[in-house]
Parts: sequence; structure tokens; C-alpha cells
Amino acid sequence: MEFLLPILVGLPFLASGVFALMPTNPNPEADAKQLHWLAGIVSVVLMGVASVLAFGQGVGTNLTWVQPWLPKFGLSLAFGQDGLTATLVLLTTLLSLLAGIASITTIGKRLKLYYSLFFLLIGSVLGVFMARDLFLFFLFFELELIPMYLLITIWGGPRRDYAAMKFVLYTLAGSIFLVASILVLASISKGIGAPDQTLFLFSQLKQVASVIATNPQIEFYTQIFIFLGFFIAFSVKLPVVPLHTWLPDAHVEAPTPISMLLAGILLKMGAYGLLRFAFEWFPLAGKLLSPYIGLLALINIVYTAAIALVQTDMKKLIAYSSVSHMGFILLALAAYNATGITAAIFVMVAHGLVSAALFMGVGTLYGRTHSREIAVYSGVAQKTPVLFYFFLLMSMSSLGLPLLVSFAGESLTFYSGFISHSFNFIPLFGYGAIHLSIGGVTALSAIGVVLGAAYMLWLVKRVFFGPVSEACQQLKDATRSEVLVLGVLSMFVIGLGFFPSLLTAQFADSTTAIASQFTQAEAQLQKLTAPSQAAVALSDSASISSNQP
Amino acid sequence: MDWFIQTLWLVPIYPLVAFLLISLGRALPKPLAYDASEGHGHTDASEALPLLAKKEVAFALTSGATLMGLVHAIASIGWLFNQHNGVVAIEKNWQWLQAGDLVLKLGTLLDANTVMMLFVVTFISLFIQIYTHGYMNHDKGYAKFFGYLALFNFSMLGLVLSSNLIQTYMFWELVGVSSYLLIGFWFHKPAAAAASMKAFLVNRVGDFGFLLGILLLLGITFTSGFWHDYLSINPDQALLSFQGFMPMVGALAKGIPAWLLGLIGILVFMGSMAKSAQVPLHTWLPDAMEGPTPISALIHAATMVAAGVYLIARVFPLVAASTDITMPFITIIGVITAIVGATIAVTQTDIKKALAYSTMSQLGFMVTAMGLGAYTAGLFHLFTHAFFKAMLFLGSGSVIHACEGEQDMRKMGGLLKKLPVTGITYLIGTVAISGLFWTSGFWSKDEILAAAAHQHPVIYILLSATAGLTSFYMFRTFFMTFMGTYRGEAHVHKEDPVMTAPLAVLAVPSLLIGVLLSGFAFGLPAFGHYITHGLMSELSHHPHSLLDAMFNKVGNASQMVGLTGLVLAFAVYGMKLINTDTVKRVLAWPYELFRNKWFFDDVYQGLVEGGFMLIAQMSSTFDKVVIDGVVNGVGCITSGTGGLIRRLQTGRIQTYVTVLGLSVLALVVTYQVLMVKG
Repeated sequence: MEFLLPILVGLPFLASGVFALMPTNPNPEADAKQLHWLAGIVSVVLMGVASVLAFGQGVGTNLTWVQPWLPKFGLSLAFGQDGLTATLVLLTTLLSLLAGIASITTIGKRLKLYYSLFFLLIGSVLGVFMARDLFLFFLFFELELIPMYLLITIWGGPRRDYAAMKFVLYTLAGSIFLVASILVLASISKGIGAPDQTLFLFSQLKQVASVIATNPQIEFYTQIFIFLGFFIAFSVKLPVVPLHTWLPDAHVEAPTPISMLLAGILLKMGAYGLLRFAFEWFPLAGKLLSPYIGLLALINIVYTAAIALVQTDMKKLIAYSSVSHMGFILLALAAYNATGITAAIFVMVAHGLVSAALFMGVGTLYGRTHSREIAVYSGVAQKTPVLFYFFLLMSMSSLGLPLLVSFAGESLTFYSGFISHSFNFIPLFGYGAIHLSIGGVTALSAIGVVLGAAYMLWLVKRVFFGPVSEACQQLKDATRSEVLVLGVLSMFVIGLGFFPSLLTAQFADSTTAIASQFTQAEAQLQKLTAPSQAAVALSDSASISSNQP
Repeated sequence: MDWFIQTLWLVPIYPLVAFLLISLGRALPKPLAYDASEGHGHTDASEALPLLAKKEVAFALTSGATLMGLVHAIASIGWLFNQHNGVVAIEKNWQWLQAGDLVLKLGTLLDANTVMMLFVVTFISLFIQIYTHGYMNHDKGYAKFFGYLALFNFSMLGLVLSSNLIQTYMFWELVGVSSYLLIGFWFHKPAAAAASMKAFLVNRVGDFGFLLGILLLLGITFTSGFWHDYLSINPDQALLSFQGFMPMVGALAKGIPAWLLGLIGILVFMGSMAKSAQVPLHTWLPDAMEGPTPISALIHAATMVAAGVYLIARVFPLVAASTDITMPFITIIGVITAIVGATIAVTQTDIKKALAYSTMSQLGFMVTAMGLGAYTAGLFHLFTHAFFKAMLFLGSGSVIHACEGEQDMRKMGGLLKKLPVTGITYLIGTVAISGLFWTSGFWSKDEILAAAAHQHPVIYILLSATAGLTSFYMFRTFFMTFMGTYRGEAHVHKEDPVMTAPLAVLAVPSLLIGVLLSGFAFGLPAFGHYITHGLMSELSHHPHSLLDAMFNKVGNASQMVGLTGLVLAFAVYGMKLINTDTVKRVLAWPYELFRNKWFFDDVYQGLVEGGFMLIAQMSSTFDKVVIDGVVNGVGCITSGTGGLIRRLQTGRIQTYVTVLGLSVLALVVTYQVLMVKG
């Protein structure tokens, strides 16, 4: 089964090449049809392979495929799968198919180039999720920028150049920190005599990371610096306030299918990186920094939700709501327990489905009126009842209605915060502390629930309710392809909303793996702080900690 | 029989299936004839429709599902009557979601409370659906309406059957969304659109508190290791279960600081405040009257708004554990709501608005009862109120339907002759809500008054005065609508038997259910006997015999107060002995206060626009100017004159590749340097 791993990553690149080199059909309509069909087939094949990988040998099978690439530099071609990867890969292939279908009505020009770049993007995202070599991961992570940049600049809105460049520069700036962390990690790996040929392999680096955390020879703060490097790089992608301003611009200018992918899966690369590297490899640093991560989460959730409330542009509103929802992932991570990890991954998937559908809904309206201004719309529900029901469903999910997919993620986040011991106050580097525990941060974050309902319902009210405005008189309801996209997403939103355990079972092994790292880190921390306590407590806790694996 | 008890989980599933089938029917591709008919607002072409999209099918699905629920409800009443203080509850749980140590479960709990609510919801729902068949017959959204009704029934029955607080929260939100959809049913009207949003958001504010209360309660018990121990002994139990956990709260509470316990109680109660329209979260309920009248009767009078009281009953041990904080808080809120609702109701000219404020006031009575610890009295009033208030609302709907949509009572009058069944049932409802002549409202309201008299004379006096006011404003609506001469322009239609039959059916419990369950008739046990037997009886503060004695004393006094209200209303609106304009002039200050609804809406609007939206706007500006300004500034500085930006913006892939190449080079160089150092 392992042989499918490189095939799954390689297929989109192959498809990208095929699209680029394909002869053009002289009949433009037949040409478009042919390209859309081909794209659909590629996506279905990707979905098939991903499903075989994810379910073929039962849920939660861990696979790895390693091939030496440039052993001199310690690089290898390594791909792998665990629950977290499988979940995100499935999401990626699903959204690839749906964004492809969405392209039928939204992309009018240079289709060959479009699909070529589209699959380059999908390929690099799959590479990011499946890479098991840190350098390879980095390459895919950077490679994704090229198609994304071009997709925005060629098919984007009026301010596309600015938005695309901002997106690229932001991510590159973040990558500097990623590079720094990778280098420090690799050099320490060399320093402690790990095998050079597999310098960047995850499995090796994870061990190195644990050596960094436990070896008294290595400066204690090293792990915190490496953690921070990862954290900053992925904060740009997630995004975390104040590194978020690229996102509203990029969303507003990107064409609809690209917005769907951007919100649906590209933001998840940030969350994935945080979980996979920052938190799984350096749990102790995560534990120590959790008060600040909690604080950032609170700002992310409430501040951007407030901003979303006063947006006059539909796409910007949904873009800010995305940032707000990403705050829940941070909050769940700051809670630092198994429930939180489950919640974080659940929110990733839920937001991937819902935000893609919301961007699709908004894009459908934009495609008809060429306006994103909320004020232009009114009474749309009377003209487009089908679109209205889909949009209402997705809004309800977005605001966390029970039995729809987002609810499980959001409520688990809150529960994880309240059953957590993560921190009791936020220290201010020797200038006292903010007396806010993880519970307090979670409680304040719950204001986001009210704000989330406010901006979504207000949007629905202004756009869909009331008398029909002039611009909307001739509005046509959703076409068959649009109904297909929204219908499939709705099925997932309702299905996983009623039966969330179907999803949690899918990534349970990753949750357990990361949670065990957390437990170890907590035990280690107890050991580290023990000397400051009474002598009896010291000997007790030391013996307990040393007994733990 | 037993089968219906064992398969209670089916009760919410029936309407869910009905909802899904109706939605599916609406989603199916329709023949052209249907599209044309939708455009013109009539449904002549319904023969051409696929089966699932037909009106009759929608009606049959929804009411059939409700009927099945009623069968379960009646079976469960049989089950309850067979309990001789033996089995007090049947609970079943199914795992819904597991994350780490946290296991969330959905379940069903059958006890006396459930039986009562199950019966109220299914019984009233069924007759309201029959009524709706007449009321909405010509509306082009008929099938959609029945779909939403089914969705509401699913959520409400899930809430009623819920076995634990977490599940309650889920269905709590779901009834909220059904209410949102139904208030905004005619969403092309701006007022309906605004009202639906307001209802949802005000409820969200309450739910925010409710959620925090749940989280705090769970957090405290979870981190102390209680659940770990408890669930290892009782693996079938759900977190925060009503049956298993709630009775233990009293004991657990001893380890929690009093303020924290009080805070949890108040936070959970915030959910009730929003749903049951308690001051200051009441402002959505009157606006919710923008929805079709059957909805006002079902959701905003009989069932959903009473869920707040039901919730207090479910978490009673929690609120009762905080005798110094939560209980007085609930009492005060309840009394204020009763007074505010009644005083505003006096000034309303819209018949539905008057009834809405009356609902609010009555809910205040129930909440007060809960706060006083008169657990059974509060639930008894919930029970009787559901019947007569649903009937009153349906009566108002019948009037509005006959008057071609007119809701202003100043343009009605003398309708008793033209709408006899509606008029008589409305009068029965008015007598019942005024607590006169041993109708159902008399028994339940006087139990609350008795509890108040037992606890605190001030509360008793305030509630009695409000009861008098209730009688006054309710008879005011009756006289203005049904007596005197007709003042409107609209042609008054005849009554529709589909609509009057449910009115007649509901009149029976409105008259009799109180006395039947009062404990004084036919040797039947009192309502409280069913409700308190089992675990709750220890928690009800007052021994029954004491309350009975108080009840006899209070009963006569309240009859007098009610009659005073009736006589006053008759004098002002029946005989016109007193000119209303004079009253308005003499009582100018209170009149303005009441007519402006105590200025709650104005204050809130000011707060939202002047405070809340201002902060949001400032955040947005900050984001645009400061954060993005810094970002763009950094961009400009690093590029020197900005020339680099211009060159980068040529959008050439080569540029990007160069950048990538440079970063890889930087990577390698740094790497080497680090290696040398290391």
C-alpha cells in the first residue's frame, strides 16, 4: 500500500504537466468541456487513491514510504500517512473536486493554464500534508506559493497584483523563521551524531527534538526558539493576528474556486504545521508558551469577529470570519489536552467544509452581479431560493448550530479549555501577570459565539431577506454544477454534524500520539519545577516522573 | 404499551424524518406548471407535483409524526400512573462523541417532568397543525411551513427528552433556530426579517451565559476528578445528567465557594431568561409576533418559551443549592418580568402584542415560583398556561384571519356575533388566565400566590396586583375585540371549522385541567403528586399540607382581585364609563413608560449602535490603518524607494524563482555557518 503514497503526491504534478502540454481544441466550447471533464476525472482519481490509502487497511493505519534522494545532503523522498494526514488529504481531494466543478461557472479564460496551476497547487498541498522529510516539506510549502500567486494575479479581481504580492511576501517573511528553525534543528541533529543520510526525516528529527528537550547539555531555551520559529511561520498561514492582513486581501481578489481552496485547505497547512512540528515535537515549549497562545487565540477569535461585523464586502466578511474560526484551533491547542487536539483537528475539517461552501455561495452571487458589496443586495432569497437554503445552512453551521459540523469542533474547544490545567495566569516577563487562566480565556473567547451569530445572521438578513433590490431583479438561481458543489458540502456538513465520531475516529491515532507527547512534557515539567518545592515533594515527584516512560 | 416506553428515542425521530422528507420533496425537480404557480402565488397545479412536494403529503407527514409522538406521550402517562413510588425514571444514553477523556452522550430520560412536557408539546402541536392547515392553506409556502414545524417538533421533543445538560444545550439552540426560521417565515417583510434576527441574537446572548454555566460546572467537576470516579462506577451515565448527577449537586456544592455556585446557577439561568423572555432579555418575544399566528401560539406561547421554566426544573438542585444568590435572583427577575409584561400589555393595541406581553408576564409568574422553590406550582402553571394561551393565540389568529390580516384592536369590536366559537373560546381563555371561577388558571396561579404568601408578603402583594392587572388587560382585549360595535373597514369572513375545532378542543383542558389535577376532584391525585414523587420531593422546599392551608386563604383573595380587574375592564372598555383619554392624561408618566415598553428597546439600540458597533468599527479601522499600515510600511522600507515593489509587481514567475533561489542560498549559507560554529 505504501507505494500509493508517492503516486498520490505525484499524480497532480503529472496532471499539471498534461494540462500544460495538451493540444488546444479549436472549438473553444468543446475545449472547455474537455478540460473540465479531465480535471474532474483527475480529482476523482485523487479522491479514490486517497480513500484507498485512508480506508484500505482500516482506519488509522500508519504508512511511510522512504527513498534516498540526495543522501549527501541528508535529503530523502519520504511520504507518509497517519490519521491527521489522511483526514487532511481526504479534505484536500474532496475540495479539489468541488473547486474544479466550481470553476465551470467562474473561470472563463486560459483554462489550460488554469488547471495546470490548479493541480500544481493541489500537488504541493498534498506534498505538505504527506511529506515525512522536513526539507521536502519546506519545498512543498514554498512551492505552493507559485501557483497560488499566479492563480490570483491572472484570474483575480481588480487589486489582484497587490493582493498576490502581499500573500507571497508575507509567507516568505514567515518562512525565514521556518528556515531558521529547520537549520538549528538540523545542526543539533548533526551535533549529537544522528545519521547524516536521513538528516531531515521526521522520525529522526522527532527523536532529536526530544533530546533537545531533555538533554541538560543543550541550552534549555533552544527548544523554545525552535518552537517559536515554527510558530511564527505557521502563524502567517493560519493566520494569527497581527499576521493576518494578507488574508482578507487575498480572498477578496482570488477567483471563487481559489478562495475555496485558500480557506478550505491552505489555511489548514498552518494548523497542520503547528500540530505536527511545533506541538508534537516540542510539547514542553508548547506547554510553557500556552498562556501566550491562549491570549493570541482570544484576540484572534474576538477581535476579528468584531471586524467581520462591520464589513461592507461579503467576501471580506467571510474572510475575517475564517480568521476568527482559526482562533478556535489556537485556543484548543493552548488547552493542551487530548480533547483540545481532537477539537483542533475537528475545527480544521469543519471550517474547511463550511468556509468553502460560504465562498462558493458568495462567489455564485458575485458571478451574477459582479458586486461584493452587501448594500447592493436585498431580497435575494426570493430570487434564488435554492442558493438561499444552502447559504442559510452553511451560515448556521458557521455560527455553531448543534448537529451541524462546526458545532462539535467549537464546543469541544470550549470543553477542552474548561477541563484543562494548562495555565492559571499569563506571566508578563517579570512585570507581573495577567490573572487569566485557560478557563478565563476560554470564557472570554465564547463571546465569539455571540459575535459569530451576529455577523452571519446580519449578512443573511441584509443579502437574502427584505424586498428585492434593483440589482437583484434578474438574479438566476444556482445552476446544476453549483447545486452539486453546495449539495455535496451540505451532505458532509449535516452528516458529520450528526455523527461527528465518524470524523474523530479517522484521526484518533494522531490525537493519541500528540496527547502522549503532552503527558510526557507535563511529567518533565513537574520534574523541572520540583526542586523549588519542599524536600519531601521533591523526592516524591522525582520518583514518579522517572517511572514514567 | 411497553414498546412505546422503550422506544422513546423515536419521538424526536418521527418529526425529523418528516422534515427531511418534506425538504426532499421541495428539493426535487418540479414540472414547469409548478414554477408558474409559484410565481402567481396559488397552487392550482398541485396535481402535477411529485408526491412528496404535495401539500397534503406535507401535512400528513408532519401531523402523523406528531400523532405518533402523542401516542408515546399517552403511553407514558399510563406508565406514570402505574408507578406506585417505585421506578421513578427510565434513562437511556448513547455515545455521541468522544474526545480525550470527554465523552458526550445523547439520551432519553423519562420521568414525570418529561411526561408532562411530552404531552403538552405533542397535544398542542397536533391541534395547532390542524389549525394551521386552515390558516396557511392559501400561503404558497405551505409545505415549507409544515417542514419547519416538523423541525421545531424534532428540536423541542429532543429538548424535552434530553437526559443531560449538554444535550439540552444542543436542542436548546435547535429550537432557537426553528423559532428563527418561523418568525422570519415571511422574510420579504423587513419587520419579520429584523424580528427573526433579533430573536436569534438575544437568545444567543442568553445561551452564551448558559454555555458558560455548563462549562464552569463541567470544568469544576471534571478537574476535581469527580467524573473520572463517577463514570468508572456508572459507565452508562452521561456527563451532567439530570437523573444521576443533578441530585448530587447539593452534596458537591459544599466544596465550591458560594459565589461560584451562585454564578453557575445564574449563568445557567441566563439561558432560561432569554428563552422564557425574562427581563432584561425579553425584548425579542413581542417582536416575534411577526411570525404567522400558529407559530406564536405553539412556539412563543405554549412550548418553547416555557422551556426556560422546564430547564430550571431540570437543574433545580443546582439553583436550589444556592439559596442566597441564585434563588433570590431568579425570584426577583421573575417578579420584575411579571410586572413589566403586565404593565406593557395594558397599553398595547395590537392583539398579538398584547397576548405576547401577557405570555411574558405569565412566564414571570412561573419563574418566580421556581425562584421561591415552589417547584410544582411553577410547572403546574406552565402546564395549564400552555393550553389556554395556545387557545387565546389561535383565537386571535382566527380573528386576524377573519378580518383580512387586521391586528389592531381599535379596528375591531363586536366580533362575537360573527365569530361565535372564537369569541366564546377566547372568553374561556380570558377567564382562565385571569384565574377566575375555578378554571385551570385559578388553580395553578393560586399555588404560586400561596407559595409567595408563604415566603414573602411583598412578593405576594406584587404578584397579586399583577394578577389583577392580568385580568384587567385580558378582559380589555376581549371587550375591544368581541364586544361593542365593529370599527374596522375590512370585510369580516366567516369562521373556518378547521380552525375553530382545535379551539373547541383546547377549551376543554383550559376549563378543566386545573380542577382535575388540583387534588380535590374525583379522587385524582394532585399535579404535584406526580411531579415531586421520587428524587425531587426532598428538594421542594415546602411540605404540601402547609401550602394547601395557604392555598385556601389565598384563593378567595385572588378571586376578588381578578374580579376587580374584570369589573374595571368592563367599566372602561365595555360600558365606556371612564374615558381612556382621561386616564392617559391623568396617568401620563406611567402611561408613557408602559407604552414605550419601559424603554428597553431604545436603551439596547443605543448600546448596540453607540457602543458595540462603534467598537467593531474602531477595530476594523485599527486593522486597516495600524496593522496593515505597518505591514505596508515595512514593505516600502525594505524596498527602499519602493522600486523593488514595483519590479516585483510585474508578476513574473522569474522574479519569484529568483526570490526562492535566494532563500535557498541563504539557507545553505546559514547552515554552513552554523555547522562551522557547532
